[in-house]
Amino acid sequence: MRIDLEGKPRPAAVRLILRFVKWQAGFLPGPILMLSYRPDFFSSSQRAYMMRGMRGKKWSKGESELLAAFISSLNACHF
Amino acid sequence: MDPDTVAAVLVDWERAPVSGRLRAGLAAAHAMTRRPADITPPDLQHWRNAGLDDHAIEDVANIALHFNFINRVADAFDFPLVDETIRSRHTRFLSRVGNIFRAKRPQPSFAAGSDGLIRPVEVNDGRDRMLAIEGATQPETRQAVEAYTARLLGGARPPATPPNVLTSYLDKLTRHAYRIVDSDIDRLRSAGFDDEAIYEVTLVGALGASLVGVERVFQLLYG
Repeated sequence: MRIDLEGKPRPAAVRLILRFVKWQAGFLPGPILMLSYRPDFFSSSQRAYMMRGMRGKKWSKGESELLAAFISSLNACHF
Repeated sequence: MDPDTVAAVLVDWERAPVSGRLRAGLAAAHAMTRRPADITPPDLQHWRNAGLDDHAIEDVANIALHFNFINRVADAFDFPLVDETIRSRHTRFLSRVGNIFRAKRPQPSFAAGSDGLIRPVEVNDGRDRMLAIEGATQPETRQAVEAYTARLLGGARPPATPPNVLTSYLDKLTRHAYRIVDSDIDRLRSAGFDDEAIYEVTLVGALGASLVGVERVFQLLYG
């Protein structure tokens, strides 16, 4: 990555969470690294908003994921 | 959703075999991403005629904000790509975690921010914090960055002048973040920006650009 999101020292509790995420997900997702790099930069409600992400009630899970993939394709973003 | 349908949408969303309602959702997502400041009342009426109520449009706006923001940051920082097996595992994991930490959407879900523009409540909180908090960059710099990228896409912000050294990076971040390369970041480092400063300007720059569609839609829905 272009900045060292993973290498920055973090509190022990956060390191434990990241280790759990890496074990469960198989890798450390960029958004998790982004959020944990400077947790003070985000408000708690904004973190909740990001965690809630796509879970509105008017679209099925598949439809929400399709909308997300479509937007990413418009941005030519492969992530 | 079946992979053939997904593939058809990504190739040609206007002709893919999907319901009229879903096509309207795709049209809304397309508008919020490609022409966010130009969304009009007839656009919303067209989506409503296809079966989207205000909450469905609001849901598309939240997805658009989330992914327009994360796409820009992912490209700027070059998040690692993963293969499909790991991506599926990641998505299932996030679903499980998301269900544990599920936060309810506040009611009402929208409010006028400190600048009078209507956005999701939590986004106003987050934006205010990112623009005011002590950090590696001055709050005035971050405010200028956020306003600059929003204005590039027609967003309602006062004129802003971020430091000259940032403008070509912010132009790429806003319009084609996939074109950001290592030398763009190296240039910022040579100008004295460390990782924390690059992090801050990238996030607020991505936020400004990604908010324009949500602000326009929320203004039309709730203004």
